Amino acid sequence: MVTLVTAAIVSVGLSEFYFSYEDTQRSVTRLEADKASAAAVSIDQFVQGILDDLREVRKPATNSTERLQSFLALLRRQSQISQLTYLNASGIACVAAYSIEVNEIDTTRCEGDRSTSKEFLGAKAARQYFGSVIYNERDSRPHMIVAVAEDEPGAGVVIADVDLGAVLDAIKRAQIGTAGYAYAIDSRGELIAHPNSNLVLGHKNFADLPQVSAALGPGAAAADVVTTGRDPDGREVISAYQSVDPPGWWVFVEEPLSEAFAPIGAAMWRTAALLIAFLMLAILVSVLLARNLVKPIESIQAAAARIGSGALNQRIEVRSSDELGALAEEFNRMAARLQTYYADLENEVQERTRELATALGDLDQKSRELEAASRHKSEFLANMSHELRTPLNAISGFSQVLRKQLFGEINEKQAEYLEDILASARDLLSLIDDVLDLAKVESGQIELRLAPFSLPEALERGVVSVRERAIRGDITITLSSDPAIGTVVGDERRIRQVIFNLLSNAVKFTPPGGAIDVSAKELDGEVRISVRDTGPGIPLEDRDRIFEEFQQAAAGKEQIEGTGLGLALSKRLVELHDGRIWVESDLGHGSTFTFTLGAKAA
Amino acid sequence: MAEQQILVVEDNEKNMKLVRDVLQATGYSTLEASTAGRAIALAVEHSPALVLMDIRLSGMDGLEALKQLRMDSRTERIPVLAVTAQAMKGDRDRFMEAGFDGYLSKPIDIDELLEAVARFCKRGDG
Repeated sequence: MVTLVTAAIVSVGLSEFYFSYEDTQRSVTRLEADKASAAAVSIDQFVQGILDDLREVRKPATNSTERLQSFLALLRRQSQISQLTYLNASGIACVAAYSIEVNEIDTTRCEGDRSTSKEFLGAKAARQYFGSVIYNERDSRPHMIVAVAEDEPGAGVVIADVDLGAVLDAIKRAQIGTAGYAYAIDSRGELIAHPNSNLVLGHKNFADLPQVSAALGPGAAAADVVTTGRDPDGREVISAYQSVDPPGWWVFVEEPLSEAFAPIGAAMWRTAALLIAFLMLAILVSVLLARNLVKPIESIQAAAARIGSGALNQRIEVRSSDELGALAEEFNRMAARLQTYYADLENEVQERTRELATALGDLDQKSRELEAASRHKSEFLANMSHELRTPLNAISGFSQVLRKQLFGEINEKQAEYLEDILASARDLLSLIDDVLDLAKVESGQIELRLAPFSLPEALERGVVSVRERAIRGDITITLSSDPAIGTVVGDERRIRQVIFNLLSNAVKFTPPGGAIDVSAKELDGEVRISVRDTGPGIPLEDRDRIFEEFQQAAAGKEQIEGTGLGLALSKRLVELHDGRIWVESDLGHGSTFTFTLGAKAA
Repeated sequence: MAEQQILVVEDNEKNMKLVRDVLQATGYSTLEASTAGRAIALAVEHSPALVLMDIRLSGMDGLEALKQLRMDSRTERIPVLAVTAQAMKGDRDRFMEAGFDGYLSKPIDIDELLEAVARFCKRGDG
């Protein structure tokens, strides 16, 4: 911003300076040209006047006396001419008249040969001649010899000594300013008139000055302006000139640059001073603006950064009634709210952490309790198994003793009853085993021992284990296993347990004359083992419940007793193998239990 | 041939009666103990041909009793069969590892019992 202001002010100043320089130069040169022109006109009039006067005396005279009379008449009339001399054709001075009245000074005698003088030769050659400026010792005024040829042929030359005071006056009048001056030179560059008469007396030649050489040079205009002139001392001058022709003179009006542009210089200094003042003002204003505008913003920015990095108690100290003040105030409110929220959040987190710790403690307690419960459960199961087996041992043992007839014979009926007792004891034992297994599965105590085993062989053994009962119940069992199925992976003992459970149930629920088919096939990358019977079937609403503990279809209940735990246990064991088990049933015609061995088994 | 003497350790009266009757009916004589302490005393005193040891007993259990029998030079060579209702998975291995010479789970199969007894008594003979 400071830069902008500076640039604006400086450019305005510079252009102002440039234009005033131009203006000044124009006006100075115009003034000079006018003066030069006026001086030239004066000098021209003077010279023409002299020449007109001389026209009277250059007419041929009948004799010397008559010529002298005309000379004296002119001298009386024209005070600028101080002497008139007539040279005859041979250059001999024959008539001489003087403006001063001294006896016997005027003469008509021919004496003195001036035939080789410049004035004689010049006038003879060009009909008129202007000589060099000389200073008359008498009156210290500039004089010049002007010579004109006599009108009559064969005649001589009239030579006039002309006082150039008028020229000097004209030159002096043309002076401008305090340091300006004017001068006149002849066609050779020699001074004719100059305020400093010493220069004229010294026959100073100005032809080397740039402005003079420009005026004397070929093709130069009769009047012009030269801005690159020099005075004899080498100072730069601004110059205007005007020719006076005849006699081929030049009038110069000059002023030193330093003088000509002194007013501009002053204006420039004024402008510069103003510029600097305004610059200072601009800088001051900028600083004040920065202090009032930027500082609060910086302060807000810094505070925001500190708040951002967590110092929520940070506040901004900007006291102003403008938008920045409002912004700071809003910012402070926001920070305060943030702080409150943060504090709330921290409290919340602490609260939650405490709750979590409590919950973890509770969980730990629960876990210990569960562990203890699990241990108790295991102990309980072991105890239960033991306590159930102990009386069963007596039941089974005594029955066996009786059947072995160790202590005497038994009749057929008694033998039949003993078989019933022993079968029930076996069922009870199986029930106990199932209960224990189920309990173990439920409490995650069963670990599968996965290994490859032959599925056809397991199915075969399952069939064998129930064959005796099937024959007794007049049930046909067929095994139709896909020959492609060989070895599968699983816990062989558990899979056999499932197969046995399904077969055992099938035998149990299939009426005499019925049939059971056991099959295994591969479908969709899994092995499916099915046990199909021709039993009573299972009602739709019971098909899920039968896989739950101690559930048995109503239809089954009235027919044959069952463990009620086999399917529940089988389901758990199959699921441990990542398999599924389900039943499809056609009520009154039979059921098909199927279980799969998942990818694990392949 | 003199009757082989078998020490039966069993705290359940009915089961004791079952084993005793079966053994006596098949030509063995029995010593009976319902506690481990009593069993050890009888074993030391009579050096039976075989011990049928119940495991879960009040006071000292069958495992401890076996250990004591094995530590005593008078009884260390007597074969001891575990006859127990502790028949859950892993129990058989556990008892065999503990040093029992055989394992029969309750409910017992009479034929199995007689077979095992016969096997150890014959060896005791030799």
